Amino acid sequence: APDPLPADQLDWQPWGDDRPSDALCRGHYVMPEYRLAPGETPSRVRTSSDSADYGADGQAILHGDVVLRRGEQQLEASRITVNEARTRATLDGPLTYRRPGMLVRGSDGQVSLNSDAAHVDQAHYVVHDQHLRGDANRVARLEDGRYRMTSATYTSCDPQSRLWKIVGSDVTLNREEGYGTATNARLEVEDVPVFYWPWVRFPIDDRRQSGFLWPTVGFSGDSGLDYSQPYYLNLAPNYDATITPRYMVNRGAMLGGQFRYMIDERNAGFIEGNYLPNDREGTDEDDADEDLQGEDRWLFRFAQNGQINDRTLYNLRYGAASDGNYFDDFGQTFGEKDTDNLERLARIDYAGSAWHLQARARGYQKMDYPLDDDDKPFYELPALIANGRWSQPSGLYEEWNTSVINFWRDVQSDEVPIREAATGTRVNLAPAIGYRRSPSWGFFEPRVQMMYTQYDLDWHNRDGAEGRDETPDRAVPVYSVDSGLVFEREASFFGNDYRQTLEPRLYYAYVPYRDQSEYPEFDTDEQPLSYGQLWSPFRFSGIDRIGDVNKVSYGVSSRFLEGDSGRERLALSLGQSHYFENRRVVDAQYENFDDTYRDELDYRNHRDESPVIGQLDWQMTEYWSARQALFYDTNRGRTEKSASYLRYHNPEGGLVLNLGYRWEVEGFDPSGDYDDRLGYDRDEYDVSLAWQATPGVSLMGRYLYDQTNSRSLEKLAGVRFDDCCYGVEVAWREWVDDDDSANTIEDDETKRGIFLRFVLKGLGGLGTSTDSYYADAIPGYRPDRF
Amino acid sequence: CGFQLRGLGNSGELGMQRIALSSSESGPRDHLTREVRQALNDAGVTISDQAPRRLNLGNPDQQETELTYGDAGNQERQVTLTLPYSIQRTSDNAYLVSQQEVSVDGTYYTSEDQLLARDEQRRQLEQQLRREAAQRLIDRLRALDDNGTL
Amino acid sequence: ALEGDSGKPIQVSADRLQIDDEAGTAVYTGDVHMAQGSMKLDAATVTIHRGNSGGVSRVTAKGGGGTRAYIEQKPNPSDPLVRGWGNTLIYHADERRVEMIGNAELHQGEDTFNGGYVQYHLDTRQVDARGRQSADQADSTSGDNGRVHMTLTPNSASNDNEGSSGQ
Repeated sequence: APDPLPADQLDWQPWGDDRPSDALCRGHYVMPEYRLAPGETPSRVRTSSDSADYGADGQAILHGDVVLRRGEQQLEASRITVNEARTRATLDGPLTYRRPGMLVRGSDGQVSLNSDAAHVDQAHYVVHDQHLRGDANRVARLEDGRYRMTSATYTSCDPQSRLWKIVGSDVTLNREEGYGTATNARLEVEDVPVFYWPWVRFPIDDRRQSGFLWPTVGFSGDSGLDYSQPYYLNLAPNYDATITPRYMVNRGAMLGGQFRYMIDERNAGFIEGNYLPNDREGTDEDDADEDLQGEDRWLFRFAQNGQINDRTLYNLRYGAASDGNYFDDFGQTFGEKDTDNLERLARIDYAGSAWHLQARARGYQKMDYPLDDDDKPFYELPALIANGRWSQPSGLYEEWNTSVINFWRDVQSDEVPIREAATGTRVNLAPAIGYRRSPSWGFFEPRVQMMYTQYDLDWHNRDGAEGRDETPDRAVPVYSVDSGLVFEREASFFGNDYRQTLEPRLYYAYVPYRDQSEYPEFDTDEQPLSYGQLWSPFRFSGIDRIGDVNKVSYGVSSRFLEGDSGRERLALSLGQSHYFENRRVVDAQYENFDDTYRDELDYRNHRDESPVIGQLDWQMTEYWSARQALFYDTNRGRTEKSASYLRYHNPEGGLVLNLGYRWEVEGFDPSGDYDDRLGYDRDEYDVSLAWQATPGVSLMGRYLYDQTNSRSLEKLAGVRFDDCCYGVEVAWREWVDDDDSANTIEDDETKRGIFLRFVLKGLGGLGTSTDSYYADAIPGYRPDRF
Repeated sequence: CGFQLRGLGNSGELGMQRIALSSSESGPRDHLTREVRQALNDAGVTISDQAPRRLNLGNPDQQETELTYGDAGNQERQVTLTLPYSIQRTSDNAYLVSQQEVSVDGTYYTSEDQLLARDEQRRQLEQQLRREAAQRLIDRLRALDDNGTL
Repeated sequence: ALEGDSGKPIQVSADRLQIDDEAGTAVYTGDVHMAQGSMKLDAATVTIHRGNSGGVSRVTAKGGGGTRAYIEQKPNPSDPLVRGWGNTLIYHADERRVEMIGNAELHQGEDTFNGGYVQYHLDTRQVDARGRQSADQADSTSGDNGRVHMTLTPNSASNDNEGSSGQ
């Protein structure tokens, strides 16, 4: 390989006081001006030299600081010979080859004058804007614009730094597509060979989000040291694969593989599998027979989605894991560890102008272990949905919502509560007619929807369900009238003028009572009270329960819009419902509640007024904002729920800070089975932040404290060091796993995990955090910013 | 106290009668564009390509964070919908307003024990957020209309 | 040069003629036009030196009044015209070569040469050009900062060559 060149020979300019604030590297590559103006037409060649000879055979030989310019190409050498046909220039002596954004210096070379092909020997090259450099025995530019280099090196580190480089016998850079390939390539860190690939493809610009697949090093109490190194195989332009051997000290060796394919730009997918034969560690469940020690642990996932035509989309998904703790034990990011189900789905959607049709088969493997039967979700085998909507200019609109779903589940019917013991088909026809007018001064929307539901069930002769009807049907009308006015005035506060609105709202909903206590519960759950629910007739999600209600909801909102931009600076809303009748439809497990909880539920279903719900959103400054939600029960003089947030969101400026407080009285959330309801008042402080302290260091963190049980529920800390050509990311998390029983904290368990990840920049590693959990845990966090 | 019904008498009504609309949403997934179209019609604005102004809607971005902790019972999840937009003068394509965005958020409840209803709950919230985002966009247009930028 | 050029008679027209027999020179001044077969020469003053055998050994032409001396020749019927400019042109008859000195320029087919000094061999059509007026002498008037400029046109079929390009 050629001997090294000083940095200034590589167009390198260290930063002076022109250093940009977010610069990570110690300088940048600057392309100097061309030394010669181009010819009138792109194909004309202009030269400048100390002397020029014109050989007998028409060869032009130029001597002495020769500069040759052809279109965007500029060559400098001590001697250049141009053949008689003017199709080739041969360069001797130290030469410089330049194209926009590319510099190659070498000992000698040849350049075609009627195409873009060229090659330079004993070369050093620099790609200015991608901050890449390297050297090679030969750098050849091919006709199609790719650069092919033999026994070459490639790095994105500053010229003086030898932190890492890729050495390959044949390295090809495809600047147009943004990736490079190398054969029998090895990675050298400080000139020490660290890794070897028979063949590797790597991104060379940041077009591709996926960074170079680099080792992930983890450590956790269960797995011990956990090391995985992906190998990337590019099989063809539209499909490639990754093989990931992984070794965990306490568990053994696991092999993973993922095959990604792209049929065309609209249809793509992947198939993924991981397999660990006889897991030495198991999943340390408290009792031995549930522990998976010695078991094989595996994961299989498949997904493909795409478009058949402009109006028809489809997606296919299948996921299965050896057990429910797979992700807890093997998730490599906290986001992955948080996976709560593996979806199995085949779905096709047709979106017409009025009709939206969907046919799907869907089911889930719930990531709980051990998974008891009543926690198993139902399969929809199949579900046919047809929703249509037509509206007329007058404001009248009609809807036709139909669903025919066959629910199935393979459980012992005696192991599950009666409400979930049946399987069968449910047909739901829900035509609706409404009238919606919303001129700028208000809106008025009366609406009637008829919910006609017909079941065809098999109770699998579950004892206690003998007398139950196998083909129950139910017809429930849902009447609602929503109305509101918008008043406005100009108002000025603290010196700037606003447009303040006052928006009273009146809503009435009536759903008659229908005894549904003997109906199954396939996809239904009682919803906690919310501001949105004030203006909705439904108390349950799903269709199996249509809660009776006869209420009027009234409320008022006031919004302050900035005078010049119309941006909403402050919004205050208050609302309450008054019930004319008690609510009689309850969740089917009402009988087996304990007394205290049943009394609470009765109180809630028999009270005349809902709590007053207040919501305040205040955008104090461009970055500071405050939010307060309050549910206050007037006749018991008690706060049922309060959520306060103070946020500083300035992702561009590199700081996002959230301070939160949540209070929920015990039993506020009626959903789920008995063991899913908090057995205490929720009283939590939630602090989270993402801060780019310096261009090179980003900190992410979250602290969640449970005041009632005075324990910390979650501590999360992430640090990412970004240097010019590499990044290191450390993520540590300690969290409480409630083992799917929220009603007691005795069986809660504290878990810890730490991950270490390297990212080599210039191999596409954007230096962005690769853990999706941050986005979930830190409101306002944006992966492209931190 | 100075409140008047919007649009009656004073400047509440949207001054411009016509606007051109271009959106980067396409095909069957252009729900937000339909919502904006409806909101514009409700505000008395007809959509036509010959209008003096063109409203460009960017690709809406949706972020979701988890507000409550733990996998038991219901989790409250917050969805933030951000709609980038810009307004151009159709005569010379000059940008009257560029790189603006409207951002609305709401929460929905989802439970690990009721996975079948999760998509439907999120879909209903998305539908409501789209309608709200369209309303906020009209507020912006109304303010720009009043202070003469449009 | 065309085979027969060297043997052809030389016609010269000029305003004045001075003949110096001892020195064996004839000096034409004022709008001089000289022709020999396919070669033509225009200059302000042309000095023809006769060799001791009586034949023309050297012709020195100088431009004047802002215009350079100009020479053109058609090496052979199939080749394009060759044209040369220079403050001073020296045509060595016996060696069949022309030296263009000072602001020298040569057009041969698609190629053009500019520089301080250009030498053209008529029979072999060889050209050598140097930035400075003469190999040793550094002369500031010899074209810009002592460099030779060329323009070449690769004659791939695709490009549209518009004949020998003029100045």
